[in-house]
Amino acid sequence: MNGQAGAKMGSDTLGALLQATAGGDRRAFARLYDQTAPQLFGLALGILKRRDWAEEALQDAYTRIWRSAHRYDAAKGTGISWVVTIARNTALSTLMRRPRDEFAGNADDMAQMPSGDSDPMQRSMQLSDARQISGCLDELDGDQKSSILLVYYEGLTQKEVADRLNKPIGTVKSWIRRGLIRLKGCLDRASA
Amino acid sequence: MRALDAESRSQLAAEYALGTLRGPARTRVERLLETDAALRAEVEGWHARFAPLAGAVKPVEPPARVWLAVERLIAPPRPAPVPAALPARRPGLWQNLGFWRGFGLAAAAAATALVAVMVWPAPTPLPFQPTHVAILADDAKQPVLLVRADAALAEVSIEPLRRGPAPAGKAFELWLLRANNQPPLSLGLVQGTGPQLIALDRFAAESVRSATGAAISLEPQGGSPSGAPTGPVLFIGAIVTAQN
Repeated sequence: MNGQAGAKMGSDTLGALLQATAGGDRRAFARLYDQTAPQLFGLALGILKRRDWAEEALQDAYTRIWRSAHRYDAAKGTGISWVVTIARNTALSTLMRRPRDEFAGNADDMAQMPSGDSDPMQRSMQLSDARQISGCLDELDGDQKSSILLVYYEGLTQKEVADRLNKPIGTVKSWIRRGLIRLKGCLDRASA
Repeated sequence: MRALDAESRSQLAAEYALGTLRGPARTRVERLLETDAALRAEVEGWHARFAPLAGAVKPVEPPARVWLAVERLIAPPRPAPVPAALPARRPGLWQNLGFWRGFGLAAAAAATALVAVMVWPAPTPLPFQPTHVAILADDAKQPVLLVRADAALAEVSIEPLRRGPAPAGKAFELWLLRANNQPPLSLGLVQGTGPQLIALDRFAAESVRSATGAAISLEPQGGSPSGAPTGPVLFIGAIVTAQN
């Protein structure tokens, strides 16, 4: 378990920092921020597309992490999984408060995004510490996989995925639904 | 609500964790999560399954102002804040919000328009006589809350125009928006289910007189732990002087 791989976001380290943060240790929280903020900012940018919104979401996410660090339970998951979940939930909430059409006319911000339809599929190939889910995603049909990854990385709704892939929404819904069922089956087998 | 069968629970949890559920559907699951331990466990399982995907995102260094803002938000409350003395601070979360700049202008315009007809009430301790009024509206500009303050009496009356409690585990907190970049001042928690009267301390009562607006943010149960708004701004409106 211990991070000899030198991963910046080694779960043990983060879990310990979270526990210290829960006890009100501001220096531990600052270190937690240093170690995770670039990853979470990248995640928020992918979903929100605009730097100002992503900054707002990041600020919100870390305030939440500070406030609710006592709810982190090492028995239920790694520290990184916990902070990633908070960051994604915060980004999705930020997205829901914003009308989508505010996206229009922000070509500059969009241009900074590593976007493109093939990206999510390639991204999952690059995973090194996520072989399991990566391997299981590879077992899905291409459409199932790309739909799921578009939702995960870009925060698209099913309707938006349908528009992006130029498919009927019913088709996309069933891709995602079946994809998730197959994903769970595969991951359960892998960890059994 | 009837208990979910295992398959629908698993599906709901997966879609919630992935993020396909939005709006009311998402809120509904969040409410269910408060009480349904099995659903919570499923969602936690999915979060853990998905989390490694985040490792594939290209890290982007956030600007230093984000940390400065976080640090300020989590700072222990100061007995005597001196806003001007804080070095190069980023305007807080609220000033960040896109609509905020627009609101400031609108509030200033409304205040200018109405200040001319202001009549100061006699300082009688008896009846509630509003000196200041704000109608808080939602994103769609629909009025939600009528807030009236009697600065002399140091009381605020709150009347929901559209009634509804805060989501489970959350609270509505009422804030006074102040001029000159001063941080918002909490006036207390609002139930949202019926009329309510909040007594103000002297400082808050005096602040009402120069406030530019009022707003409701969504906070954890018990209110913002930091003394500054932390959750989304749900309803907002300009404060104008009452025409008595």
